[in-house]
This record gives sequence, C-alpha cells and structure tokens, in this order.
Amino acid sequence: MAASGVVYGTRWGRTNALVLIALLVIAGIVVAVKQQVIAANLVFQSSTSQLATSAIDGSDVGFGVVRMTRSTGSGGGTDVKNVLRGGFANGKLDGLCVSQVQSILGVNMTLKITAGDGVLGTYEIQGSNALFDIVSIRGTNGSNGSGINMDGRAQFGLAASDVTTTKTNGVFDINPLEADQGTGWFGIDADKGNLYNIRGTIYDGVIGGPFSLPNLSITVTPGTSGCDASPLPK
Amino acid sequence: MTGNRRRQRVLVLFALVALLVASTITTGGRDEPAHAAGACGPNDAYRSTLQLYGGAGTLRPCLSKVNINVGIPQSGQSHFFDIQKIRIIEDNVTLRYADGSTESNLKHITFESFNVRDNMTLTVDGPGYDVRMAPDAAAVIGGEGVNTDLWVTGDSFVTVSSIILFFGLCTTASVNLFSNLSWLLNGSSWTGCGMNLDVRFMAVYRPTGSTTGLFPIKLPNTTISVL
Repeated sequence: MAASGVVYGTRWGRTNALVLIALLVIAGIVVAVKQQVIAANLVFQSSTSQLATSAIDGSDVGFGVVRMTRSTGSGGGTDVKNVLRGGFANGKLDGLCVSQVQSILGVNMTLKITAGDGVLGTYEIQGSNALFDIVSIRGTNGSNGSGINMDGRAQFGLAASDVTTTKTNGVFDINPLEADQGTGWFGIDADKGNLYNIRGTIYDGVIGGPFSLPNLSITVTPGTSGCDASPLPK
Repeated sequence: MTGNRRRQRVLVLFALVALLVASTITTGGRDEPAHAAGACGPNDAYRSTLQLYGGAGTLRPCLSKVNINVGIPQSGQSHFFDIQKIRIIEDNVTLRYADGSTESNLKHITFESFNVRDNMTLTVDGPGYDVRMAPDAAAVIGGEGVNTDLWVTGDSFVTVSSIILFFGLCTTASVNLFSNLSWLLNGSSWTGCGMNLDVRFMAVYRPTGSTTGLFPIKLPNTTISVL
C-alpha cells in the first residue's frame, strides 16, 4: 500500500478468473470446430495473413472483386480494400496453414493455425460455403498437381454479383460473394476448381458450413516465421 | 525485478495472446448475402443474351463492363501460342452491361484449341483496381477440343505465322479485318507471335460431350494478384 492510501498492484484473483474464462472459451471453440459442431469463421481484419495448402478441390467455384471494409486497428477506424473473393460451394483441402504476425507490446508474435493429416492427397479437411478474400495467390507445379485449374464452362467478365457458388433447394443463391451490384466488379465463374500447391496472402477466410479440421493446432511464437517459412501443409 | 512484477508481465502478455487468439477465431456465420430484387437490373433486364459458337448453347450473363486484356507481347519471330482455327462469329455485337448501358461494334470471335506456350498476362482493368493473372510460362485458356469464345473490341489484334503463308513470318491482323480474312483464318492452324485482345467477356467451353473433365483453364505456376 502506498503512503497516499491508493492501492497499487495486481488483483490476481480477478485477473486469473478472466484468463481462465478466455482460455475456456478458446478451448470450447477449438473442441467444437474439431468435432464439426460449429462452423468456423477466421477473421483477420486489420492486416493480411499468409495462407498455404497442398491443394483445394472445390465445386461450384467463383471469383469476384469485392470491396472489403477493414479495421485499421486504431480508434475504431476502417478503410476499404478491393480484394478478389474466391468462393467454393463445397471444398476439400489437403492440409491448411494460416498465419498472421501481430505486434504485442512492441514484440512481433506469429499466430499460426495448422491442420491436416500429414499425408499428401487425402483431402482430410472438408467444408462448405468457403470464402477467401485474396490479395494474391500462387499455385505451382508439384507431384500432386499443377497450379490453378478450372473445369466445366468457365466465364470471365461476369459482374461479381452474378457469380454463383452455393445453392438453396437446388437453386443458386443470389450474390453469394456479397459483391456490389452493377458494373465495375469483375467476376469469374466455373463449375469446378482444382488448385495445387497454394501460397497466398489473404485478408480473411470464412467456412460457412460444417467444417472438419483434423489435428488442429494453434501456436503463438515470437518472431515473424509464418506459413511462408514452412513446408506446404498436407 | 521482483517475482511479483515478472509474474504480472507474463500474465499480461499471456492475456494479450489469449485475446488475440480469441479475436481471431470467432464462431457463427457471416451476414446473409444482400439479396437484390433482381440479380441484374429490374427483372433481370440488364442481362446480355449470347450464343456460343456452333450451337453450343446460349448464355445470359450479367456483365461487369470491365476490360480484360489478354496480352502476349511479340518478341521478334518467337512463337508463343497455338490456335487450330480462328473464327469470326458475329461482326457487330452489342453487349448490355449490369448497369443497363450498352456497347456496340464489338466482335465475337472463337479460338479453337487455344494453347499458350509463354509470355501471356491477363490483366483486368477495373475502376480503382487491377487483377493480374500471370503464368510463368505455358497456360491453357481452352486447349484441345475446347472453344474459347471472346467478345472483343475491333482494334484488338493477333500476330500469327504459318509455314505456308507469309513465308512463315509473323503477321498482324486486326480483329476488324477478320471478316475479310475468315477464309484464311478458318483454313489453317496458326502459330502465334503475339496478341493484344481487349475482351469484354470470355467463355471457355467444350462444344460437345460432357462439360467437365477437360479442365479448359490450366494455369500452372501462376500468380493471381489484386493491385
């Protein structure tokens, strides 16, 4: 106790209780995602994240340029970024890594989320209604496949709001990419998309439907070593 | 540093990390898509009606009015692509766009079995953004047994060569001239030296049989970026 009578110091009981609650919430979410009880919604609003996967196999695939409102991380401010939103009505991934660097008390920390069974070609991660807000994406050749591929009737130059992915009662949903209406927003539509050996930069990724993430791992480590510095997850 | 203060700092750091993880993984869905009264203007009136080559079907796209430049810069007499046939399908096409506006004097052309060896970039020139698709080398925008229908401006051009014509030299033909040259363009397989196409809409499809299984878009070693 200070001489002025003001009490300084940490109220350990209250602090520990809050930390315990936070940890229980995180643990509950992780368990629920692992058990496919809930959909997962990975949101990185203020800065970009690294994405890596050995492969994505998606049906009813579309890409469209959309405006994404992003938190600037200070004073509740926002700004708008144009991103290429990739939508997959149904998708399977062969391994997944998403990482983001955050500065905490001036120290760079990297949050990394990984999942997969470690076996190439098993597509063990499955979900529906997946959306990724892409800044850049690169597909390359590998033993499992080559780069970015689309199948069926592919159309380039659609309005992004006219791209179709998900269906309700067998009818395509209107504007599943949530794009602006009207002209100026470019879109691509295809029946199927196979993407191999993917590394990219995204703002966020959303899996709208039930989602399985076997061997989910979440790590926070000092430094800036993210998915780009790791072998492709599988 | 006292043990108490060290413990305090560790706990604060831990709490921040926990907050970061908790804010990164959230549950629940995204907001429902904003359903418009009509997907493309009132009662879908702003859709274009486009016939694919060879009776392969009719499309009713809602068009973005964004230019897609298919660029293959010429470099001497080097060959960068192959096309089995180049066809002019319609010489004066009017497209309707998603805002109800129209653009006339466009050309509908078809490339049969279009394969790119190298040097191609697709650049989407949107208002306030570009999307760039840049294969390192070879790419397929069609491929064997597939048609690539393009609605392009008349000043677009291809630069091609043929062993039996022009002494094998690269020769440029504007799309405006395709009608006059159709007997020639349809009659020979072409090796390409370059092209500069300003495309308003492109459909890549298999004209007969199953629509899937061929993967008419193949972009190995390719970067797609929004600039």
